[in-house]
Amino acid sequence: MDAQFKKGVLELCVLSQLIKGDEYGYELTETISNELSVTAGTLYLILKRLKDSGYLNTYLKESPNGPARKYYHITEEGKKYQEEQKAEWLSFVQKAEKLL
Amino acid sequence: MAVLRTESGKTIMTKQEYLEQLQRRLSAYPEDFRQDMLDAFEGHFQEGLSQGRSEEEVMDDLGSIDDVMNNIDVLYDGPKKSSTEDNMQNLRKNLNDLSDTLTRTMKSAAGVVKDSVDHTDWSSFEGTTGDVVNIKDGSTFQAVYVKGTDGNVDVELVPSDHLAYQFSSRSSLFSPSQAVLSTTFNGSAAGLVVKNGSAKLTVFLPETMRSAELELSSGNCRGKALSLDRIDIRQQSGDTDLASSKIKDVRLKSVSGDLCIKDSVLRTL
Repeated sequence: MDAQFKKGVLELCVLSQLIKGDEYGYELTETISNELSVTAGTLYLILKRLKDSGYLNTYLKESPNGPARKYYHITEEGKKYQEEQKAEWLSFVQKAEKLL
Repeated sequence: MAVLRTESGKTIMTKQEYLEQLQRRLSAYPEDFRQDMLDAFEGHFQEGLSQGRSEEEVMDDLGSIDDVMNNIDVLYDGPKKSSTEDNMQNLRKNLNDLSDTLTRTMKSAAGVVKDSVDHTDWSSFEGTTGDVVNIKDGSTFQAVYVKGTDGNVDVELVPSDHLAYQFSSRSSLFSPSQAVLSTTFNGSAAGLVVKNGSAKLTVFLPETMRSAELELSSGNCRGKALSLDRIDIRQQSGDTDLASSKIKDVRLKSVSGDLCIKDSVLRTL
């Protein structure tokens, strides 16, 4: 699959997941890897990219067992970006469906 | 999407070896990137192991280091080496972006159109994306027609003291082309047509504008505090949201979008 396309889909999936609430890396990557065949390592690259773009920020929070977990939180800018990308995706799918 | 998961476990490594190798291979990347990635991978090991999974299983989750390295350029596309030069360049770019965003936000929030581009020949879009473009003698127009069917075109109608518009092309991975706005006029009707992609278009309507007609595919339409004789909106999948408006004749058609009208006075003929 085209790499840029893949990146777009994965970014959208990650942001859409975080709109439902903050999650830590393990939890987030597990949810997405269960649905799509994508490694956690790849998702950490996506997360880093989204963070550097200002769509996410991170904070540490104590975990009941073991060291603190790094949580990911979507920013207002991230929500706006997710909304735009989602609309683009839906419009893309709609067009593709006509061809299938 | 199976391409992302490469076969792992061909060479059995320990957690320690895996992380050391990752650190070595990330050494050419900026400190901030390397540190965040190592933190994330270490955190993943800690979490996985504390849930009783084996080191091998966690490495399988994370994918092979080759896999990660192969994906860096495409998925992260950040700077390879951190130099002061690069950092300064990024900083300047961020500052410019920020100042553009602020200018735009302030203009649209106030609904005023100072420092805008004067647009007199009314033939095609001349401003830079994001500029508010004033229409000279805009009060001679009584109807506006907006069409955006090539992409995702969001339209916002805003009452104002004169006719103007603000256009921003929006390319994305799913529709990479830059949208183009062209304008036409025919007697008392003004036409704004977005072609070739996705965009956001704000149209500032003076009191003299009595009628608006919109034809959109997947964009949304929003209007607030409008006073019109007639509005006609035809959409495929976008939503329409009208609030606090007085409109005599309303025609809305949406194949799969939501229609919302709030605090408005309507008189359907």
